[in-house]
Amino acid sequence: MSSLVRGAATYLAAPIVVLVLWQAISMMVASPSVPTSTDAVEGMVDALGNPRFRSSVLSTLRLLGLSFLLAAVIGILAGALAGGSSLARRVLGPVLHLVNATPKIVFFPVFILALGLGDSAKLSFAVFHGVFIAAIVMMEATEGLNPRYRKVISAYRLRPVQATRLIVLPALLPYVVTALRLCLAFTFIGLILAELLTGTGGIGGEILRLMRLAEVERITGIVLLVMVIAVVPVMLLRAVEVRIRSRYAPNP
Amino acid sequence: MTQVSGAIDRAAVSVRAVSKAYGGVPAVDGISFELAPGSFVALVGPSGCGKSSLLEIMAGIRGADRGEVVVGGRRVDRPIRSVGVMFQEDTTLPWRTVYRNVAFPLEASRRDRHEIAAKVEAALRMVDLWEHRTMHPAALSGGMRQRVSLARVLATDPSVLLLDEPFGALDEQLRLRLGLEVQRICREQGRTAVLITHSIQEAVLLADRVLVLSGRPATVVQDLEVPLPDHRSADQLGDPRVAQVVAKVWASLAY
Amino acid sequence: MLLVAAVAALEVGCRVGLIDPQIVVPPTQMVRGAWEIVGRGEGWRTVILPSATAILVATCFSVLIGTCCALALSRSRMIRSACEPYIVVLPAIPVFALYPVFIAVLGQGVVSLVLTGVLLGVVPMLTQVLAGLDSLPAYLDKLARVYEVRGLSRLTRLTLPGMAPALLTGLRLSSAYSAIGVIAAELILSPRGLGHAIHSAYESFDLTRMYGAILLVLALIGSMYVGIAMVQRRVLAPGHMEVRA
Repeated sequence: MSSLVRGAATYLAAPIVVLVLWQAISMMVASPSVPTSTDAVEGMVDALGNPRFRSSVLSTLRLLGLSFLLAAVIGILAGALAGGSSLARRVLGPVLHLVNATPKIVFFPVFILALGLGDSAKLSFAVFHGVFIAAIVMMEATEGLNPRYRKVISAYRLRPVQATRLIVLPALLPYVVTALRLCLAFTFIGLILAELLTGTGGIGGEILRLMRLAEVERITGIVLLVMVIAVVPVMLLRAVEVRIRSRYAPNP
Repeated sequence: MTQVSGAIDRAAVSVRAVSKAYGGVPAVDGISFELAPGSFVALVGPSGCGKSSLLEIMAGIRGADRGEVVVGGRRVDRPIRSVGVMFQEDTTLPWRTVYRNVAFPLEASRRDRHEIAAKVEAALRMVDLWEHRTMHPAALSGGMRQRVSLARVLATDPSVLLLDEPFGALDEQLRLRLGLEVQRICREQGRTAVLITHSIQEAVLLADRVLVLSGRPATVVQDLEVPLPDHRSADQLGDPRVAQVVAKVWASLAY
Repeated sequence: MLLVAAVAALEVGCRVGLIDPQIVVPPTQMVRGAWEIVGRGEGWRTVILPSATAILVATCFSVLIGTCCALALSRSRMIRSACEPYIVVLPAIPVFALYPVFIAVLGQGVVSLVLTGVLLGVVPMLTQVLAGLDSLPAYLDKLARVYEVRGLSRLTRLTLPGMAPALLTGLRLSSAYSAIGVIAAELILSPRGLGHAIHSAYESFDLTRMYGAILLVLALIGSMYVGIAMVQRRVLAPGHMEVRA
């Protein structure tokens, strides 16, 4: 029980300190254009009470779900397959690394030119933003698969399907979770970027509209909401990851 | 660093009833011995018997629970200049050249530039690394790196050298060669040396006195003189006197 | 090799008409667009210099703040463990979403741009320095105790040189991330800079200029990255990269 309390305290300490600092600084500045943390929370609650904003959030979440699904499936499968074959690795590896290292944001206008200002451009940019990191994680994981497992596979004469089901997939599981976590983070960043750049629909569009109206409190509240949407699922995935990894390697 | 008076000042190092425990488990228990100036003393004992703890207390980087260590009339309660320490692991700094590795402790104690240059050159010539002064440790062999560490200790001009298995990570031939080199340097310059080693042969071949420690907690169980001339060489490994002392050490370790 | 082939294929594809010229222009035309910006003094003044200055300032702040935060964090185990789960998720934060807030609070200008760049750039610096501190060999501590090297002297003689590889890698990543932050912010809203050039060219359907500006961004970030990597190879002592037992 006390360890649970301590764990919760450790987890909550950092955000509480940040909020208190924010509140203190904004109260010291005491300018109407600098929102306090309570202002931001009020702004967030206020915004969520607005049905128009709620539908924007829903549309963003819907796009996020779809693009995350696409990016994760494509990235993980492509990465695992590329890692498994040495030819594919040699051809795809450098391409993946190169594209992953480039700032993808500058390519967004290309997506608009090709697909217009609608959801399909945002969706494909979000997938584009998130798919490479997942592929790279999986490629490196498959490539670096412990050679011990190959010995096990040949020792028991497992057929490819059996080997995949019994050895390869369980061995890759921790990396799949890592890939999912990074993919989700990058996809969401890509989606928010796309919405901010098109300025139509979704949370990002809402932020841009309020920016033009200079509604500081509400905009801060909405950005706070964006942070929560970005961080909470990623932290949950991270927790799952730590759990799985500790089971795989109890004594690191 | 209180001044200690009395007749014991003649000893280069006095270890007096030193005890140390970790979490209630004693590692060193009431150890006492004295080392004559210019002597080369080996400490042997089973591994994990507290030898390294004792050495760190003598170096002043760890405090004793009870007892005291006196070097050159000064009580050691923090690292002092007249004591140099050399560790088992490679402690050269990879980003500094051989020269600047040796200069490190002198720079850290803010010595004069000319003094540093003179001392570093002398130390590097002593260990025969002057030609390699511009190289980085990564380009050197393990043995050469340990010689850099040795030069770094010598450059601070300590009267007492504490050697914690300094060549333990090297192969046997190299270990013996470097050990003989250290022994020669210490003898020629009249420095007192304490060598911790787990090789009984090495201890006997290099030292003029061998202290055998018991297992945890460490106490001195045997104090043996090595009846060999000051000049040592690998030939003496076959000397019957060496074999005798080795046998005695073994006998006391079995106790 | 592959890159050259891809560029050649793109050129041919555009020329032959396989690729819609309303979407992608041939690489030679992109280079011409880039040259039209670089070749004119006005291009330097309104496009390249504003971005480059903001990126430089943001990188400096990122490196400084990241290093100091990491050093401070490493001093207390309690604070470190409280921050650890959040440090891991820092890269997941869509920092760009804060740019509109900065504009609303601080107005449109170089401060908002730099702030966005710093928030992005500080994360890799922080994580690199923390990793560098963790990988410092234990014998440095022994040396520090034997030779009584403490405080600032210890920082400049042992700690910072010991993690020089991590510092330089941090600088490399940090500059790239700061650049991305600045360019992205300019794309969203800014009266000048490379990001603005891309945005305005796209709005006026000047694809030559748009792709030229994109090319310049890639060249800028790429050359910074490669440049720092070369410095890294040059400055670091041989063998300093490898982890020693």
